[in-house]
Amino acid sequence: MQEWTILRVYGSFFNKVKSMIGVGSNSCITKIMCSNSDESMSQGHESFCTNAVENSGLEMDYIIPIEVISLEIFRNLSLKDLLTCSLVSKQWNSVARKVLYENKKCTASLILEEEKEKPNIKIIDYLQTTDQRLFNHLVIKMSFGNDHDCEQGCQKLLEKVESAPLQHANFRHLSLYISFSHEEDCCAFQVVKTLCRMIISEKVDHLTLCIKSFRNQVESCSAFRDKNDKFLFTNLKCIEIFVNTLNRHEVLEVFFRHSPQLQEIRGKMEVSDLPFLLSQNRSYLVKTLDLTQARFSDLDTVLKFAKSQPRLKSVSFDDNYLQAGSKYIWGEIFSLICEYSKNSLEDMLITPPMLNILSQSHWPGVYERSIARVFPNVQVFTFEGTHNYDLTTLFRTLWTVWDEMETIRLSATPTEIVALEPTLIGIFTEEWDHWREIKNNEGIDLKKMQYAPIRPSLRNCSNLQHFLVHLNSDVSYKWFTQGLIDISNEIHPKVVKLAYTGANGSIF
Amino acid sequence: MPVVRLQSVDGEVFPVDVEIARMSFAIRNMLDDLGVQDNDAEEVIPLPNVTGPILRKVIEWCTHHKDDPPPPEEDDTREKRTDDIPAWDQEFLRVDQAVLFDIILAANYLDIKGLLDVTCKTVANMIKGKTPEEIRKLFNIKNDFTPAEEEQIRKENEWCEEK
Repeated sequence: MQEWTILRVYGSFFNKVKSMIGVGSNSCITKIMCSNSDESMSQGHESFCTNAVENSGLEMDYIIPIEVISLEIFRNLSLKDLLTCSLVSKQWNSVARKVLYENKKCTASLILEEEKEKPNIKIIDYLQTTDQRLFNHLVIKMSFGNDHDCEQGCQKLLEKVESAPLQHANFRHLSLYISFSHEEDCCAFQVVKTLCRMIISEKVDHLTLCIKSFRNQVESCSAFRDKNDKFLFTNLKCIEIFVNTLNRHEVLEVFFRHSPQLQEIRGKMEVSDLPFLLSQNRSYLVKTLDLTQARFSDLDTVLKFAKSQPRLKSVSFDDNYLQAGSKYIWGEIFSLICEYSKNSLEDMLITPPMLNILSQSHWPGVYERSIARVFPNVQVFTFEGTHNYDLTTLFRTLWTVWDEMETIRLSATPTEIVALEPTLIGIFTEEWDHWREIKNNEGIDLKKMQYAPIRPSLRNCSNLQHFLVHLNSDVSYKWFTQGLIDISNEIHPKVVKLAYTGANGSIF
Repeated sequence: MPVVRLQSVDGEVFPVDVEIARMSFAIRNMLDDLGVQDNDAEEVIPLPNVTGPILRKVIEWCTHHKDDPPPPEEDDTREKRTDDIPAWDQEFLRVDQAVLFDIILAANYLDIKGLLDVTCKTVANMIKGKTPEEIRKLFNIKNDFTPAEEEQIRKENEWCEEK
């Protein structure tokens, strides 16, 4: 009777339980209700058994239509494997296409050159007639060469584009390579303009713009307006602009005005961009910032920016600033930026003076041990050591927290790197000393030996693709015989490309 | 250690440590929603979609992985690595295709993320690098395309591959 009580008291939860359990939920409830009544119990039981028999001998065709599962399987596959899957059967095609469209960048490219006219027309024809959703990224490239003749080429393509609406008009990412040095009625430019109006422009959330040769601002934006002069791309979240600095601000201003949901400017911003962005109250859009060109006269601007609570993914900072006359202000700038960006930083370069600043602004030594905890989302980590810097404390915490890391770049002396070995392979220094003694005294080659990690090691970083070591020394690779391991064998040997570069840039 | 009893569809009852059973988010939610106390040892949770042998496998996996840290929140759009399946899991999943699919279904139904992850990676590894015909053969799938349809898809794929 106990279960009856549960049913009565918690009856209101049952809808929730039902939705949670999904298929077969009714049987579940029957079972709870009837588990003390022999008759219905056996009835229910029978139907379960039938179910069970059906379930064994399961085939792929049964599980692949279940969306959670197929997505889980297919997202492990590369673009190439997904394209292969799309050829297996109709069912696989629809699943693979969906994963492709939603998770991979599938690009349709139009290259507006005379000799490319035929393939361009084929693609437009496909977009006009298909019922598939294949592409999520449309690239339209105008020729940037000087020899482009506005009178020639693209005439047929323009006719084709104008002949019918696009069935496949839903793109999330649009990349335009436009040159405004053409005549206003240049066919290639007309193709760009017409297509911008034909795609569902509200669906575009990422725009990449590469613009060459401006004449004036009004002209630069004519491609982004419809026939009634209404702005087309109003739902952009991310904009990526390759234009010279002068015009970059003009173009950005137009998008700031019309696309209120912008969250990010992709690509590197420089110190010279900051006054403009601050005046527009858009400094929060900066994700990648290069401060290496900053001069003394920029200090106020950069400090103002640092105080505007930026959420950067990457910042290039020259640590010479931290030794120069204005080192206190630079120290404040650096620690402010790190503080505000601690959850957003993906690409991080750190040096001992920078660590020092971070420690000072909080509490001594803490950053060495906790840097990975403070900046949890770093994927590319670069450390430029100085002579005789003890890397072990810093690196030991890395494997534990930064297991999503993709790239580690380490610049250090051979002594430092050899001292780092026990941390790399996750054994205690005492054990490492022991093996080294055996190796040195008895001349046994331990290169092929497997060291069972006792603590987290480099192997914990399962996403690691590159581990690059730059040696601050001119001694050759042979020096490494003093150590125990061949690092490249220690970490996923197939994936990690290990490069030792000497101070003179040579690769061993 | 408090215990819950999980009952498979064919009536087999498995006493399982609560902490291990709670690795399944479906069971965890059910226990929380029904307000079951840790000391309610007599509680039987019926699992109408899982057979005894499969449930035994699932419990075995959960028991082995009970001390794993919770999986990180991930970015769904990134292609994942599939060469990082632990040796124990590889051995554990050396089973018939049908059993593997049954475990996937159970992991999905019981909402055990880690198990779903590793089983799906195993299937993905079976697919990787194969031709469409090899995939059909492997999973016993019938090619239901007409030659014209197949040609059309090939053509579309070619565009996709272009950068």
